[in-house]
Amino acid sequence: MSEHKPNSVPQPWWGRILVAFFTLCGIVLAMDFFGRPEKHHPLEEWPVMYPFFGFFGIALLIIAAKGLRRVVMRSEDYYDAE
Amino acid sequence: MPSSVPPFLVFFVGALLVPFLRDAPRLRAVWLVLIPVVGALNVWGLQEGFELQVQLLGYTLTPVRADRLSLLFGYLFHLGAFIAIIYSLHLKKGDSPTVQHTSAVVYAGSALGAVFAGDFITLFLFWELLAISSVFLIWTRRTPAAISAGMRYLLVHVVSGVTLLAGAMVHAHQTGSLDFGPMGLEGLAAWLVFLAVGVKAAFPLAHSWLIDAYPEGTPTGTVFLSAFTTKVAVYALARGFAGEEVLIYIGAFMACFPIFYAVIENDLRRTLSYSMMNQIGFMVCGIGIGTTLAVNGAVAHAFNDVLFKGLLFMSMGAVMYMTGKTKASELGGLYKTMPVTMILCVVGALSISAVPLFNAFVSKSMIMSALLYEHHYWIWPVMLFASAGVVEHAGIKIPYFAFFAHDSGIRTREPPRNMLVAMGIGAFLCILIGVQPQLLYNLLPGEVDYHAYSYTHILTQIQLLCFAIAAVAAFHLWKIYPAEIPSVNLDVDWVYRRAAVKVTGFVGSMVGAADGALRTAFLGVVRRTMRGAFRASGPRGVLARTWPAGSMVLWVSILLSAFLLFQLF
Repeated sequence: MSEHKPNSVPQPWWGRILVAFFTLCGIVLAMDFFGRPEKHHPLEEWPVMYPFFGFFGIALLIIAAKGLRRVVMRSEDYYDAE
Repeated sequence: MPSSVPPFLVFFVGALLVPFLRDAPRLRAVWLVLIPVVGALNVWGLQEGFELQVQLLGYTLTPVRADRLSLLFGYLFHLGAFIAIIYSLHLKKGDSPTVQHTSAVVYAGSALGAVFAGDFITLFLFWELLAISSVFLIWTRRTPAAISAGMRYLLVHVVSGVTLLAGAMVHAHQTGSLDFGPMGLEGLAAWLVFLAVGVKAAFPLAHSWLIDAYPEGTPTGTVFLSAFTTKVAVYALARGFAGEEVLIYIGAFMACFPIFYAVIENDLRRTLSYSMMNQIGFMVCGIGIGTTLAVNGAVAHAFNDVLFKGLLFMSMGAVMYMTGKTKASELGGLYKTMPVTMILCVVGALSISAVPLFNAFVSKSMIMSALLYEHHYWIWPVMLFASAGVVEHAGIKIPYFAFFAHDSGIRTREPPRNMLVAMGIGAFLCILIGVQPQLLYNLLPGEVDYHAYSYTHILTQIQLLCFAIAAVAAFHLWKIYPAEIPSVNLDVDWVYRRAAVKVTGFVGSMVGAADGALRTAFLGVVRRTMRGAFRASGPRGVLARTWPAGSMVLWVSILLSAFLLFQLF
């Protein structure tokens, strides 16, 4: 994984990219408070529902996938003895 | 000019000449590109409502049925074939170009034959031909893994074809007709056809052929594979089973289940295969909803999927062709030497993530809106979760681990120009349809009254995507994102690749042991019988002994006396 090895993109660039990206996240989050004209689902009545769903949905996905790995992961040559 | 030439015929005739152009690569290239171009002109000339019918054994067969649904898939398959053929033009002698090109052209022709088939017999023939022609795109990679994956792929698809034929026979027996049209899920015939189509569409539990075989194909072969087989199945579902509620649940499960695997998969082409299953889940769900908007959204998404998934498979194929690697643990830092490929891959990643101005946004939102309009309130959040999941594995993981992440030290160069041109066409179309959705909407089977670019759609989609990416970024920064580890992940194919082998071995050893015990017991009985017979009839046996005449007379008189006494009393 990348955290164990040096990243191919120089660190200052990653820093700038992340700052720009999190700024964008802040802007789209703030825009939610100016209202959304179309609402069809009860969940859509909740403020910041989409950002919440996006962030925690992926967090759940990654945590669950890590759990799944414990069950299903095998060595690369697992099927070689077929 | 109106045409009445069956669309598959152009490809089959084209394929016939390919082997004869083995030693003329330039001429072969021109010929190959001409096939989908001429085919597209032919389909353009097919009138809506045109049917070609023949009589066979008292049944009416319809080898060509042109309506808005079949014509849409007809255009799509010509476009997909055109892009994939350009992508494969560089193939040299070591790549088995004749086998790959011939089988690819026959494969594309078979897909066209299937979507224009108006009856079950024609559909069955092309259904099987799809499997037989496409397996060579896997086998020509010539690795042991590719050979065995190809064999499993072929077996699964032949079984699917036989199931389809069984369904067709029952249908013909019940209705007296072989026409393939809306069926509904009632009766044995419909369920058999549904099962056959489900296998080809990679329904959950029947999906592992896709995950197993597609990553084992050649770099160019997998691009062809990604365009046709599953889309033929989506077409068959739209034709036969639109509005069947069970498809909504199958689609929702199909959209969610593979994204967990995609997160932890190390092979990037296998990650894309899981992603393909996830995208088909959206299409299946749309078909299940069954409204005009939903079915339009499903087939529009199939159209877009050929473009963006083809683009992603092409970019990973280019990486594989230039580096020989597709595993996340072995790649990284390629943006330095393959910047154009990286940009084209990012376009594919943005498209599949349904970013506004890219093509998946204009089709996936139709399905999501249809779920809301039809009050499927429990399914909608599930599909929203699946939408966010796409960003993680296809939007970020694919380009990030191939082109950025840690520096693998690989220094290569851009792939051959034809590969870049093909990817460029795919990327251009992803953006064009994203910017001008009406171009696609005008081709859809039902009338479209839908505006993807409403303020709410754009804002909510950007919010969902941004915060999904933020979660991935946060997990990276916190160093808890799953590491890329050289490994395999057990999936349903474990059942027949490992469990069935073990069970068969166990049952075999048990049968062998039982057989041995039975044989030993039987031989014991035979041996004892022989010994008894020998004891009685052998040289010293009672029956074989030489008795004196006097004792024989004595015994006869005893017997006669006994008989006499018995008679008297």
